[in-house]
Amino acid sequence: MDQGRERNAGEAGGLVSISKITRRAMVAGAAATTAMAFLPLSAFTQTVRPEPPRPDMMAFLRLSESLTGVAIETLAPEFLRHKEDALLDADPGVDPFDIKKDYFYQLSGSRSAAAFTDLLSFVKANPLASQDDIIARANASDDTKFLARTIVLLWYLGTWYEPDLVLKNAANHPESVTGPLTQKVLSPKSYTQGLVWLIAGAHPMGYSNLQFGYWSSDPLDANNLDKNGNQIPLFISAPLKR
Amino acid sequence: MVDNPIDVVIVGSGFAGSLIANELSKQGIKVVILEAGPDVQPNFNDYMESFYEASSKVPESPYPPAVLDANGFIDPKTMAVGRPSSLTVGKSTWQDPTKAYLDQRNSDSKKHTSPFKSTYERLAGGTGHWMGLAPRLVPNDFSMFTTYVKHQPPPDNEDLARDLKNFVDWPIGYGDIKYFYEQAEVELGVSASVEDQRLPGIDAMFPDSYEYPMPRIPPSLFDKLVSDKLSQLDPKDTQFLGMKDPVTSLAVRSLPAARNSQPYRNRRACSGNTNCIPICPIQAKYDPTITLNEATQNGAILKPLTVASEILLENDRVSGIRYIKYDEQGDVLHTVTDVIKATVYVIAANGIETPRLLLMSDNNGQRPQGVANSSDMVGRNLMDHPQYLSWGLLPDPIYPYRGPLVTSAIGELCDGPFRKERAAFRVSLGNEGWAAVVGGGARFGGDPNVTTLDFINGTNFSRANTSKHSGLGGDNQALLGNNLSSKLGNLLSRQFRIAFPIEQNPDPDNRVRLSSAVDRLNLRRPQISYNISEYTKRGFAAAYQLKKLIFGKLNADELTSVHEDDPASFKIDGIPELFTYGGAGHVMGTYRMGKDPKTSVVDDMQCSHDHPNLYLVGSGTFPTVGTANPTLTLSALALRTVGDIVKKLSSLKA
Amino acid sequence: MKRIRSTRHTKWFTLALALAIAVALAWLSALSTPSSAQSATAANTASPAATSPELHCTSAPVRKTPLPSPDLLNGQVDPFQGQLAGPSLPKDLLVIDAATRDSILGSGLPCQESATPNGQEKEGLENLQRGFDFYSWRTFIALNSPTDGSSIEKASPDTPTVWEDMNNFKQLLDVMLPTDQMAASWPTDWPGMEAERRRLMPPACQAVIKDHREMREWMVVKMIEESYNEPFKTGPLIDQDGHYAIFDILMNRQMFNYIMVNHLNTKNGQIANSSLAVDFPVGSNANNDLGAFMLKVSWKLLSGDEIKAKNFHMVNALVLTPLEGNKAQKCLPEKLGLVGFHAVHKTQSRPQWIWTSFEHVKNVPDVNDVAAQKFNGPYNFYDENCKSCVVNATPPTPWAPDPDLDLSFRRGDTFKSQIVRETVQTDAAKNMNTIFQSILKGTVWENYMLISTQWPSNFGCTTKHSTNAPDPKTDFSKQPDMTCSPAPTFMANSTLETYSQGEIPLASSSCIACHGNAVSYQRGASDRQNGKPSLNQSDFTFILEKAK
Repeated sequence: MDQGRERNAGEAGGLVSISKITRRAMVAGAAATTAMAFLPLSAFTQTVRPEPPRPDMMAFLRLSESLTGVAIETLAPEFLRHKEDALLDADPGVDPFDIKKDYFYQLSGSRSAAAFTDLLSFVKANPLASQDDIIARANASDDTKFLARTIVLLWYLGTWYEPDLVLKNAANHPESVTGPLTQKVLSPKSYTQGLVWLIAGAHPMGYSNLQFGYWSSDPLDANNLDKNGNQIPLFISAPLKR
Repeated sequence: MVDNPIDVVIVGSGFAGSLIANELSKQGIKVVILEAGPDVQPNFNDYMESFYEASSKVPESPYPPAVLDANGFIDPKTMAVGRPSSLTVGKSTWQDPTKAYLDQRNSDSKKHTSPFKSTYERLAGGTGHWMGLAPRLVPNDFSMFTTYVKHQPPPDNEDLARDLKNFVDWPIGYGDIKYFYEQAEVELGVSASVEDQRLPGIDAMFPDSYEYPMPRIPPSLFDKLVSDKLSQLDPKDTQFLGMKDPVTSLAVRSLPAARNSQPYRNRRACSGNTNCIPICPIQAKYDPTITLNEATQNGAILKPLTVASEILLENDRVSGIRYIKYDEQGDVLHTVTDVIKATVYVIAANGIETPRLLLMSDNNGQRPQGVANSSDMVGRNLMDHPQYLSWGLLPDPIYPYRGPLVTSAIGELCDGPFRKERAAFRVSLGNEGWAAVVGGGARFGGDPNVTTLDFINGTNFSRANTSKHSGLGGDNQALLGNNLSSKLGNLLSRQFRIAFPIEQNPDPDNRVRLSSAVDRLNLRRPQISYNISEYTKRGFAAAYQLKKLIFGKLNADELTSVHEDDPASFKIDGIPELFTYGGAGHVMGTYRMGKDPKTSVVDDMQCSHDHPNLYLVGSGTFPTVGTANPTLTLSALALRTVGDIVKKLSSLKA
Repeated sequence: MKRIRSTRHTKWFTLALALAIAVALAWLSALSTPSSAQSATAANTASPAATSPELHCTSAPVRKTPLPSPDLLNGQVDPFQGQLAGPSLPKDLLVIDAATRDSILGSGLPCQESATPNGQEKEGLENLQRGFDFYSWRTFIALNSPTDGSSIEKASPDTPTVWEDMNNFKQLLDVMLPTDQMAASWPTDWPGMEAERRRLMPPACQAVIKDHREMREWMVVKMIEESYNEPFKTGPLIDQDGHYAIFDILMNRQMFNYIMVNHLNTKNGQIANSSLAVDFPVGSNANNDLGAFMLKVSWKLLSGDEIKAKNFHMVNALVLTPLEGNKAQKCLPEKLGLVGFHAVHKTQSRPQWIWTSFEHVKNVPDVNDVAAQKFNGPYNFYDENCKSCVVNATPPTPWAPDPDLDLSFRRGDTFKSQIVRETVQTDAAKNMNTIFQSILKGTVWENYMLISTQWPSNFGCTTKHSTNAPDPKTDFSKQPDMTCSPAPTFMANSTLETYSQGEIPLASSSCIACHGNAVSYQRGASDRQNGKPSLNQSDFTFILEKAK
């Protein structure tokens, strides 16, 4: 029935997006990588990158949790939280997707690396800061404010939106978005690990790990009850304080 | 070309081309298929990678050729095998041939034209990005003229009178292709329940004992909600629909779909990837590469990267097809031009590319009107199902973005006495939230991206970021933390959209011609003139009224909107709001079938009136379009044509 | 997908292990020798002795020398010192001492995996993977040990293995019979089993086997399309002699029993039993139960030279060519060599099953080998000297075997598949392989290697159970994700998923992701009542869709 997918409500002026496969390469059936403005994740597929130092990763996770509203237990499913450990000493764990590592390297290698380090330093210096404190600190200056939004969009959509070029532009001129823009889906992995779908009670379009007929039932699964008989939500909300 | 002479050459390996190739090959007939685009892929790795990484998940996003690169839109003149894109139908692109493949510049300032928004693919398997819906046409769709025009006095409105006079009857009736509908349903693997297809007032479409190949696809939560809310209607409120009997309820029924609800022919059942358009990652949705692979297993030969450039005639017979075999290594284009000969020729290149080829085939100036065009009907009567799109927020979560994109529809409004005054429509319930209706263009892609960006960045591209819709304290709110996740979760889970695909009447001025703009092979690209008629606009008006009724019953918060500078926007008398339409991806009517060679291009077996060894297949042969998605019908017609081709072969070879 | 964890990893383990330890201690006292698993009587006795009906598994410790306590894995952790996840094998690890070697070789078929995030590797995930890979090797050894009960160390290349024994595994085509035939049975006595096999022997093959006592000595492969065309019709695999590779699927008794008891062996039976939520039995150390087990194997036709070289495990086979049009099927006696081996085992802790894959070491080079032009051939499915061969291309059509060519793909052997492994094995897997190949040195089994083990890694997800359901209460309807984050994310065997290799979600081969889509012919997978599990999912196996 409908062609669906994309009524062109908005107009793109100028640069739109970087597609990984060039026109000619697609016709020939081979994949080519175009030059990118920032670290290409594909360069790392052959070598395994090391895990970032634990305090940095934990600070990143606490920062991400406060900004996204999604708990570390969902962002890093192998997170082992020992009550006796301080947050920054905890083991973030490694799961098969390990999307946190991809995002960490994307941020630390980007043009906004300084703002990223700044926010990480704040969390490391104030490990018991509340969600509101962290958000306030992020909103304190333009650099960190738009970087914070970029971080959230990374987790939610698996897509990189340049803080100063895309988000600042869009926020300050909401009527018309013009000028060169860069945003990019980081990888098939990041798209399929996007959180916004989970938050909506669904799954990324084009990536379902469910079975025939599930759409006829409520996503809040009647089997998902904790030991008190309460419904387990689809994701864990971030705590206000740790 | 080969030792054994070729019996049939088919141009195009989409639905019709692959079905015919397979049926002929199974009978030992020697078939060669020319396919303009690349070959079938051994797996979906490349397509899925392109799709996942596309910033805008439009129907063409998994498939080559790319439309965008680092510098913006790629000029179609640099593409050997270009095709239209959903990204180039906006104000600044639809009439710019350096961006848009179709040339839609308006050469006649007196006539208003509107963007033709539907797209197709040119590669092995054809338009595999289809939705997968497979309803049949209803009996009256085949006889619009006799049933709704012939015996009525013409209306006062001049435009409407002209629209009605343009209706014609098909040269066949539903009964003539009923058997082939069943064959097509088996070949495509259609899941449906016969009960759901017994539309009221439309009798005898199915024998009692008929069983679809697979059980129906289960309804979504949204389907069930709408069904519930429309189960009790006041007939005064539905009188405007002009149905034969008073409408006291509207049934939401599972749509037949070529989507496995069970294991079928070594393919998996649907797991609700919610991605039918543009691509089913597990091929639970039928696409023509499945039949194409069967055809090549049965002996058909597929020649990819081979563009048919001219149909050659000797007297009234087709004597060969000139083709360009091309190769793009890096930036260098290599081409080899040659001619392929057979006994019978089938053009299955879709509703725009087929007329393009026919019109290009001027045979050294001997056929200035092109091949098969003594009627001057080739390219004319281009029709789509323009879609009236509406969307909003429900009071409670309904959890969209789950299941196939569309599982159910309201079908019974597709026929009735109202058709003598206005276009019919179906009501398509979407499961994909606002993904198909709220777009950020090539930059942001569709929802949920746009709404997500809005509530993080404090913008309002989705129009949901006003206190009226969001329930927050002000407009343009930028949120973070739990405020963001709970608000966004709540909004996204309440999104819904309802689309009304609306019938178009034939209009000879809606047509495909040749542009002066060319592609990389120096072939003239299609030029399109397209518009929405009065008859269809009145269909929009009725759909608009029905939308208000439905939204009221759902207690929905409506967010439907139209940009003032949307080139497809139009007004309807008596309705203050601006309208626009989306393309359905249905390209129909441009080489229609009929009994009279003066007003039609092919006969009911889809054989050209002018050339006995030339068949033109696909939805271009539809004289009228009804409201059903064309794929099942064009597949049934293709299967019906097979018998005629076999007979023609023996008579021509004798 | 992100998922929730409702309980802590360590807490679960402590509870479960307490139970396991208690049971294991009881068992320890009962066991005298490590392996009593394969108790099938010798194949060549004339008198039909009764056999134990089930393939036995064990939860016994792997080694006799006790470990410092607390031993969280009850002696089932691997005994190798050092980290295997680095590029090189830890020094002094090889040669494995004889006692350890004997213990591992005789340790038996594990009822359940034993894996913990704690261990010698740096990351929890690496320790878990190591535990699974060790479990996989033990499984491979146990299933490929001689069925007469002798040690694998003494086995010849053609010694019949445990899994080839018709007492232990039955082929798919002998279960999913046409509806006009009497339903399959699986007697527990030899005459019964032989009679059943004779009943289902195709006429063309009956002429070859004259003496019923020879029945047990032949592997009979009745080819259908899936025997030569890879899943979802992705294409056949052609070896360097121009022959088709042949695929076969088998299941154990527990899986068979579940299918027959629930009438899942026919389409109509499945439809009639639409209220059943298919949930195969699970293996558990605590109950010393094997659970459901299925195999998928790939074979190569062996040439005379290959038979003499003794580098492949070999069977005598009768291969019935697939039905093509009206031509008669042929029953070809062939010597088949094992080139690929999937073992899939459902356990209590991993209801998404554990997916193990092995290959012959000389199947194909990987992308690094090709890039460096450093080969270790000659390969079964790759020609180092072919410059014009397109890598990983499917063969030209038509694919169906020509009955006149006896399993050669084309006259004159003009086409050979040129296959490269696209995902290089991890260092940890390679090191584990080096260790086991040294343990198996001197046997044909040193020519086999583990590709990887795929297992559902999210414990919070795997431990969710259905309410109001019979045991094992697997929860198939949990959302958002019922595959529970498979590790590794992708896995492909170069002989069995040849053309689906890659790292693109859903498009590239992942055992659990793909098998998660498997459904049966049961009807009604919609309106799910509170707590009632989903219908028509077929518990990660495509076996049910082969019912007629």
